[in-house]
Amino acid sequence: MTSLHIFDIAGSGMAAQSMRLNTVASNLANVGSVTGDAASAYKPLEPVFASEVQDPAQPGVAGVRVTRVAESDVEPIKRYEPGNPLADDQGYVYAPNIDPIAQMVNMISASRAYQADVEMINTGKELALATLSVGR
Amino acid sequence: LDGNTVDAEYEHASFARAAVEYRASLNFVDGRVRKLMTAITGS
Repeated sequence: MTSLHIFDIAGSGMAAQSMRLNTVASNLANVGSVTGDAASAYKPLEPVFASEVQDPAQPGVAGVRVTRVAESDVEPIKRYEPGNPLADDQGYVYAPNIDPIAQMVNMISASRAYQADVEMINTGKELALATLSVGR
Repeated sequence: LDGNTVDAEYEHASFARAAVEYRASLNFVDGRVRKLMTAITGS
């Protein structure tokens, strides 16, 4: 339990996974956000993770950090909807190219990883408390 | 499967194993401390 890096590492994992859940929520919320031109259509968000060494003395032990939230460059879906008030001159609207099923899978994966991090913290806390009560 | 080299199940299992081993070591240390305390205080 040296200096309790487990809390920093699992905490960084929880922060990263909750950022992933946020991007999934944002992507799912904007499935139906159509626009009148391709350039301003919503781009699916994708968090970019990188491992980050917590303690230079232990270079093999790393937490995770969200380096940036990237906008995916997939082309928006062009749909012919002349009745839509947002349609352009030719009657087309542009919907973001988001696969809701892939987003749900991403969400479940993030949720499982978050649960694993919570379990790490609980076990680490329990062991640290047990260590504190040695001899009592 | 997804190009990731981390096997989550394996890591989970080895985490649980490490926690149990830590607990076992802690039990031994705790027993030793208690024994010494009994020897010192005599009660």
